[in-house]
Amino acid sequence: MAKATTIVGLEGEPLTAEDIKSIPILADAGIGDTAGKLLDQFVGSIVRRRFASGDVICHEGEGGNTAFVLLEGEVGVSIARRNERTKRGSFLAALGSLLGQKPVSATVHHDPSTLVPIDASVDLRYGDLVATLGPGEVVGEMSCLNLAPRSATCVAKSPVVALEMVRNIYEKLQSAPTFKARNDANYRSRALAGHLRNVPIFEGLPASAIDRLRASAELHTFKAGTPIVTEGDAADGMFLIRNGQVRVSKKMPGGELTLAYLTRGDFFGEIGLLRGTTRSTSCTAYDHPKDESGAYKKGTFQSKASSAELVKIKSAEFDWLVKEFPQIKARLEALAETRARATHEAQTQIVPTSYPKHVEDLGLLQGQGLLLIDLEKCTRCDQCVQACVASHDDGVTRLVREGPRYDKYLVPSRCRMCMDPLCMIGCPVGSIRRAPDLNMFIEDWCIGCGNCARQCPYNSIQMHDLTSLGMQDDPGVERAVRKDRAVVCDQCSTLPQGPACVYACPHDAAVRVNAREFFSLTVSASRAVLADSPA
Amino acid sequence: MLIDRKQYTWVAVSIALGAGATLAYVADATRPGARPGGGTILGLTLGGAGLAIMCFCALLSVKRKVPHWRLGRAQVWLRAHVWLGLLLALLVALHSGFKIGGAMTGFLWIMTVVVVGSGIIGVAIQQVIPRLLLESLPGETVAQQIDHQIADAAAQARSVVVKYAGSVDAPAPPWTEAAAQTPVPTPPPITPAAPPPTSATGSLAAPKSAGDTKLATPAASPLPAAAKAATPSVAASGGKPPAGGEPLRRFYLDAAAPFMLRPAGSPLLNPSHARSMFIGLRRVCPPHIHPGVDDLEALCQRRRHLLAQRRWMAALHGWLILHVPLSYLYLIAVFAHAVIAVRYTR
Ligand code: HEM
Ligand code: SF4
Ligand code: SF4
Repeated sequence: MAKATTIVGLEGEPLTAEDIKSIPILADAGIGDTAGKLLDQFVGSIVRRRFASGDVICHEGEGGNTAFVLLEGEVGVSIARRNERTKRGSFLAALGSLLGQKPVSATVHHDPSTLVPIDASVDLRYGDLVATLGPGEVVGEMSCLNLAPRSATCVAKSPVVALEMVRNIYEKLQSAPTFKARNDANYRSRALAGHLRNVPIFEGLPASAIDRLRASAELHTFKAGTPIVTEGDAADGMFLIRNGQVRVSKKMPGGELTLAYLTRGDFFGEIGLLRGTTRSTSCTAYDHPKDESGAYKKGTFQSKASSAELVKIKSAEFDWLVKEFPQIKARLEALAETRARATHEAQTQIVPTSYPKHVEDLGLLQGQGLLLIDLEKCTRCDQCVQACVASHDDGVTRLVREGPRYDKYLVPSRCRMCMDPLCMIGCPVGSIRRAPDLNMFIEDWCIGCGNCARQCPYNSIQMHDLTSLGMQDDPGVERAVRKDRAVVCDQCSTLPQGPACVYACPHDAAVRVNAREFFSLTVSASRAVLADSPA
Repeated sequence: MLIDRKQYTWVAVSIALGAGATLAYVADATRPGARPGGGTILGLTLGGAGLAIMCFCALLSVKRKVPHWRLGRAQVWLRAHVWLGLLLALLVALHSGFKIGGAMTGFLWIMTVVVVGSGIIGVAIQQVIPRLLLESLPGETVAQQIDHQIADAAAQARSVVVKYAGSVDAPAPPWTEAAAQTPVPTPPPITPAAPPPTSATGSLAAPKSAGDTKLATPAASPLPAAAKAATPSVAASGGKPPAGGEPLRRFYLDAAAPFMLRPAGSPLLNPSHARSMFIGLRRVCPPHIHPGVDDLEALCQRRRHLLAQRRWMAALHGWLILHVPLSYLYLIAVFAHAVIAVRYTR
């Protein structure tokens, strides 16, 4: 093989003209010349790989830029099992829980049937976290297209033959009708039923109803940046995300507020259908932030625009469901209620006119729950940090008393509950999430890749190794690469008295504010607001 | 605790209780034949109230151990602690009938003064130093990171000099006219036995924030140059040192490195001294070395700020070393006094 001419140089067996002719998806993709020989520009971009039974194809959390299309054999896909706590509680902690004074738990428990989205044509179940893939299926699509870290560990369960390829080839394949058709069919048969069942409102539907939905659902692809639904438009269907990212936003007096980044397995658009109203939010196939020149912003996840693949359930089917299954209607009503409340809570009451330049430069306006420390009052006693540690059952702080200053305030490194939470972009397993009350939290299937920590512009997410969190992988599957977990401030969401840092500050120095409200007042006025707040 | 409008409630509570106690005392003490003191009904009541306040004040430590328990906001606790603590001094005086008494009660008097006095000093300090820290330093780091950052500044200073002047390890070249004109004061002698910084690595279990440069472990070489004599250098390994960097190198070896290691007594400790020294250094350096001089100056300033921060912090927290242990001792002594008084008097 003429290695010198290769650009990427994947290791493996080069493809022959016969291969390209005999493998239908390749024949169709236009990667060979008239004689079938691989075009020069693709040499080294696609290779055949063989794995013996037991070989690891890729490890969760590690970097990767290739996709694998399986030709023969079976591959087991898994992510490290939920973390079990190994730390013994102290006497005080035990006494506290007796007295009903529980710390915030770092783990959010789910039903075992909850789907964990991974970068393959199947999803994993929270209760199990292992699946098997066979010939024709793809692993690593998101790594290949977006350079997302590997979302799962893939191990050959039998001798495996696979095609490994980089982005330029994979894009060719995607545009080939055979591949697309096969991929869609695979998805419809393997994953769609699971996705539908995972939508909470469809829970308990009989198999026949799921089958009907599966058959009638439309598969759509939206190029990144294109609107899927627009606030104010008539509702004509609900959507389920098969792949990619969708940004949900709402127009606000102060600008566009991002309510969520949805990923594989999430759904939206049901409320308009139920209520027969127009769309209450806009949903856009998400593209990464760019600067004025159109380049991707420094520090944000490096990737080219990709697309979002969606499943659409048309309004006719939806109406049939609601008519046929009254329990669905009840659930929808409840859900619509919660979502509306969350949106309402997210709205800022004060309409700001302008802010000091410095406030904008520091990104303070992103903060809907911004912690400020009044440095004239703060005695640097560190009680806030110790309170943060004590209030979380994993015993690490979310708050670092270091950061930029604004006027007499320190803006410490701690989650600001951004309007537009960049940390959520690019989590390969959808494990950093925003709760309805806008708090960020990390699901316990975090694979420790660190994308979210790199993405956060304010250094508010820390990576900690599992041991220091008093956690470990279940013996079943051990994570091979990074034994880490992301830790983000959850605003002490389950403590009735609010954030522990504020509650524990003896000197009235730590305050939590909504930045838009706080900074729209002049500094002296906001000082007065704080001085008058209840003692 | 900054004394602001939010204190009013507790000030009022404390004054009202104090006034009530004083009135009761005056009424009691002016009765004919009255012998005011701890033994009377009023005296015992005042003593009991004082003891209760002491216990409440001591509970502040317990509250701190369980910051997330719903025991009330810490700021309310501290307000009550301070203003009731002050009331305590009055109650003690009324309880004793303004008499020193014997050895035990005399000791208790001293302890009252020391504990309440140290508390007052603490509150006074808290009015001033936080503001000074805010005004005199452009930024702060967390206390546990100071050592770490000092080592970091030293390592960076060294690499700046290596970059602009080549090796910093080779012996200084012979005395020259130019070097003599360098306004470098005689440095404190550096001996190979100079102790390395006590703690060169940060003690904070720094989280591995993937995107964070501030918390990331800094340079590989945490020790100031002067403490490492034999590392291979650019010059020694054959790389050519940039021309014209000699004054910078001299300045580093004579003044900056020792300052980084032990700032006490160094002329660089004084900001205006330092400024004129660096102006002098720029004058004897060719322009292409100036960026290196700028960097070194900034690092020396950072070192100064770190030192200042450490000193301010020590002042801000130092008084607690007196206040806390003595307040426990006080509490024990008062208990002993109460038991003895109730059992053996009358
Ligand atoms: C019998 C009387 C007192 C006792 C037993 C007492 C006890 C204590 C204790 C144990 C602490 C330390 C809490 C900790 O760091 O764990 C403390 C802190 C403190 N005390 Fe007192 N104290 C008394 C009186 C006073 C008085 C009279 C004042 C002020 C006028 C005062 C002001 C303070 C202040 C400002 C703190 C520091 C709190 C902080 O910085 O967070 N104390 N006291
Ligand atoms: S939560 Fe963060 S560290 Fe964990 S998998 Fe998602 S992006 Fe990676
Ligand atoms: S608890 Fe309050 S006073 Fe103490 S360090 Fe934190 S903000 Fe400052």
